[in-house]
Amino acid sequence: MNREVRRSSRSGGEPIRMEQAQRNVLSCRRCLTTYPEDFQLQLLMGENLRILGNFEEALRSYERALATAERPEVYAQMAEIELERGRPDAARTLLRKAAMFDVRYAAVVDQPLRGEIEAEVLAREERLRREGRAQRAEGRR
Amino acid sequence: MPAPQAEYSKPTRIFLTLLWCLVVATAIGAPLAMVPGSFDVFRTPKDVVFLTLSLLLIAAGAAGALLSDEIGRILQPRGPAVLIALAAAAWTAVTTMTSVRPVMSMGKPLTAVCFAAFFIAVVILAARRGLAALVIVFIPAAINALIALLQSTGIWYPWAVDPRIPERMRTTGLIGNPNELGTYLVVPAIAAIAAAVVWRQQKWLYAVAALLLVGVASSQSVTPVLAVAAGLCAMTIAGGTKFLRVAALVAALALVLAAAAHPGSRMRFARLFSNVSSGSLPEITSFRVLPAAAALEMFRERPLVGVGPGSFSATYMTERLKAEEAHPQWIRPQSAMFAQVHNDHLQVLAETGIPGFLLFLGALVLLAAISFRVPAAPDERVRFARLFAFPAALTFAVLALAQFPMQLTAPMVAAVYLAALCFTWTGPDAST
Repeated sequence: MNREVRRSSRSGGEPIRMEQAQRNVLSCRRCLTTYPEDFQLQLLMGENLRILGNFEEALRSYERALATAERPEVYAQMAEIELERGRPDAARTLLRKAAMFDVRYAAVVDQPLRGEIEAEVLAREERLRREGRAQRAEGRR
Repeated sequence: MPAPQAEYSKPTRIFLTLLWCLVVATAIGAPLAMVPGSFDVFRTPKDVVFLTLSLLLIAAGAAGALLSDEIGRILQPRGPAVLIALAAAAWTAVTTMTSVRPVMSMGKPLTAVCFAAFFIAVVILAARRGLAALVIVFIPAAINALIALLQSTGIWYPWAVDPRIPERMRTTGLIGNPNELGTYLVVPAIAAIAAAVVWRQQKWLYAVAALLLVGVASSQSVTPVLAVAAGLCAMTIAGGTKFLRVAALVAALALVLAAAAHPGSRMRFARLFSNVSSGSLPEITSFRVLPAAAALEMFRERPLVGVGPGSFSATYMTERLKAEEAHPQWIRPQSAMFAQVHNDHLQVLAETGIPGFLLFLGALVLLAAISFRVPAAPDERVRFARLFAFPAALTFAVLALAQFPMQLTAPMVAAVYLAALCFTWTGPDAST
């Protein structure tokens, strides 16, 4: 479903894209009545709700997905929504979680937030390596 | 002991044949099932075929047992192996109830019950069948090995291939990807070698064994090659005759030659040797050390019941960050999401706790013991079971160190089917 939506976004057909997203949300809702706990359906619905600009409901859908299976891309997508809503602090918290897992997720946002997140990730890795070295040295002693 | 099949009434014989047809359809159909162009081309169709046919098997068996005392007597499960299969299904249900992510675990008891039923069905129905019962596993394995060979050499692709896909990843057979393909072919390859040694007059078995070994090499995957090597070593221990030692040596040489001659496979081993010389554990293990450490973390937190079947992927993100705190030397800037540990020993331990792991280990030990506890007999089926059981258990254990055969339908169908043949051919009902 999302593949279709993305394709139409590339071709520039905004009305078609919106119509498809609307159709997808309806399909997701219908499927969720049968499989209410399917986290992939929740992800799909969140993505389409975001396209439609329904950020509140999109975030709720992502949170339901996270309650079932924790994945970095969900945090990254939620961070993007928070940025679109004008809440950079909430976005930073979410993006930090995704980037701690894989620093490439920081690339979903522009500078300066991107650089700040990358610096935080590198600082954590450096701290852990330092502590690890110290522990190993202590162990040898 | 039940009477030989010829002594059963005609309706009972027809009914047992029907059940056997379902078993055969499962053993052949599941590894071949795929739906080109669908969202999940390989795994879901295999799951659907296996679950559907197994549920039909359970329904038909239950109906037969209810309607006929004779069938009820025949279908009575017996033996410690059957007990382990039932205990595994029961423990999966228990750990699903205690799962940290019940939604992710929900479907797992059904799969465990279906595998237990499939195993019991083979134990009951194959007791008096011979080499033909073994060939059933070789048919889909040989088809997959042949397709893998053609794909890996670029001679023929059964479907259009995206040119952006790396050369190695185009070798899927009908299984899904090169690692899963290699994982699937390993146990049937060991079975084919054992069968060729036992049924020496059946020369075509040599061709099947060679084809399956070439299929393993075509997958260009390191663990399956090492697992076959371990199995061949075990076979020389289990058999002990001069002919067998020569056969195992020839098979090992054939595998090494195939792996060395195949350009992709050769490249893969060269990369492995270069990583080993660098001494960097994440690179040597294709970055599987952190998932393994995360699985151990999960086990430490819930040693008795584990996090629940299927819950590893759902909790991996948090647990991996914890594992990084303990092993900072393994941190790499970019990391992938692991849906499986790529080590079934640790995954079983993390998801089902100590009892689950003991059941897994118990099943392997019980299978391996056939090679040592069953006395030698002129019956070729007994000789096959004695020669194959220990190597198969060891091969599977090695395979499960760096792959996840227990999470995949095709390798499990083949492994469970072959294990059931070993138990039933050395059991009390195995008259000809």
